[in-house]
Amino acid sequence: MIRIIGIGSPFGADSCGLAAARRLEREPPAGAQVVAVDRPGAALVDLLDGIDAAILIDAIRSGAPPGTVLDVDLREVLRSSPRPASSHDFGVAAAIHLAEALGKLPPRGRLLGIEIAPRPSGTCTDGDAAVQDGLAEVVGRTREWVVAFLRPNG
Amino acid sequence: MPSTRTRRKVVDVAALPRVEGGGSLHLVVEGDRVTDLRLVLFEPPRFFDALLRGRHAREAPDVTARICGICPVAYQMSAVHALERLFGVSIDPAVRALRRLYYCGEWIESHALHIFMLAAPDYLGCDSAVTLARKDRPAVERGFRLRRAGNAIVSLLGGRSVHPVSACIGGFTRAPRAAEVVALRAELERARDDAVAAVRWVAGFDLLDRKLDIEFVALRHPNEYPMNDGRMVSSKGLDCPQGRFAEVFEEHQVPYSNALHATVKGRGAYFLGPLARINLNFDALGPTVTGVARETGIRWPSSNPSVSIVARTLEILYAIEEALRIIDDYEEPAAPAASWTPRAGVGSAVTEAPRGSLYHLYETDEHGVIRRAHIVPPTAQNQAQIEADLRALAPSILPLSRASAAALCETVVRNYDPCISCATHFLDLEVVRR
Repeated sequence: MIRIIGIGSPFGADSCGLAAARRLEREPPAGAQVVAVDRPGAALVDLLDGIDAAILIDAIRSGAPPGTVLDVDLREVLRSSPRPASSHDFGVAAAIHLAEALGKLPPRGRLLGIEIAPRPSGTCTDGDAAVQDGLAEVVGRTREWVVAFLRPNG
Repeated sequence: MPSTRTRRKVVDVAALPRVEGGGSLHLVVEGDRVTDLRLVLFEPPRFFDALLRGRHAREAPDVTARICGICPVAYQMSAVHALERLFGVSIDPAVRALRRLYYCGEWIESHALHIFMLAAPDYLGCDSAVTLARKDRPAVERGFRLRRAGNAIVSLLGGRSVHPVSACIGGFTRAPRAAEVVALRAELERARDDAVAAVRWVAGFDLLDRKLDIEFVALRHPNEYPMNDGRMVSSKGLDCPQGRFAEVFEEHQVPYSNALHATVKGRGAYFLGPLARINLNFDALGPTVTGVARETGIRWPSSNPSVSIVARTLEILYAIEEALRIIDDYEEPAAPAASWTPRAGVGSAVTEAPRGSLYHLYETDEHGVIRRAHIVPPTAQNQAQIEADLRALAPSILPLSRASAAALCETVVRNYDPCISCATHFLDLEVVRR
């Protein structure tokens, strides 16, 4: 099973992952389950468990121009160092590290990030035009990755 | 010839890791004396008490549930009980049992999160749950299973596991069908074995061996282990109805923290949470839990704050046992909530949040609009006790390296499972040695 996991907060520009999940839910890609989760913390580990592939969608802030799309293998996230954080800082990267340590990271997966503005206005769907373009691109790429994961050697 | 120079040690932790929220610690030890100690809860104040003013009483459980992502049930329960007292609402015994089941779910998930993700790495040479998972994967998997069992209860009764929405004045917006409640049973049965294994696991940790003069405070109820109901009691003779909370305890501002400190009037700091509850209610834990508690070799009641992690794990076992009992006895209530009519007045309640007693007070007008709200979270109340605990630790800190001193102080603070966001509505450690 392929699980598409849109991650975010209902408020402000951090809503990109949730907005992407909602768009995908309207016409879910065949062979994939779509879930939208509000800042799951360690609960993300449970969502990564027992599936063949995962596509995580989240808002990111890396300093790139707003709307830039990041598309990386989930295992690339493991190259970051998990820091012993407050439980409030237990984010997507920490959950991916923990899932890997527990043997729950699916064999295939992508992290799709949408760069938001440094000082965003509005939510992901009514704010910066470039971010909305990025959202549309991520929705399209998600569908392409589902097709790729479903190929016999995908 | 002894040195005439006073030995001075400064410990600074700028941002305490593995706690709920953000805070820091600054500690100066000179000789065997602590000359400066500041547990700084620097998360900004959240003004929930003011935010509630002008809102209708029926909104209080949903608004206050937003104070904490870990213990929203506690906020809902203190809110509904305070407002039910104010409006003279009697709840159906079946609803009372459901609320107890709801609280069991929160204790299980909150305690499991703290034990396995935040505290256990301290005792096993790990800096995070990730490194602990690489070292002892079965233990962390056990923690995940326990947390899921708690989440399942909260999700069923609250509508969702985070910031649940169904608790209301008079009961719940929806009571679960008997089949839905019975469906929780299998996961809780498995969780019971995990909880027993977890108690044995934490009891084997190399816990600090200390004996402190502590006033433990918790609710106590004649017929049950306290959650939603009972009198306020302490290990130093306090025994009063919940309504006297504001007469017995006093809050005061310290210049360095965004959370008010609290003391027992005329005495001082006090200790809330699982160890306080177990110390004051050991006889109410039932034969299975007391049997497992005695197997640990710890003498209960215990004046060693470091055994809190064992007490917390025993409470997971208790909550599972209690949840199973409630499930077996469950009968759907005639109505999910009692009807009520607002009136002008003042009502307050204390319930036992995972971290200890949580006080809510509301004053409403005749239309049920909140004119005054006052919330006293357990972490705020525990601050003075955490500082007292660190002061008692000072002689042990001096011989240690800076890193070891900071790690020890962090462990001591973390032992209280502080929820800093609740209290300010955290911890960076700064250790200064002189």
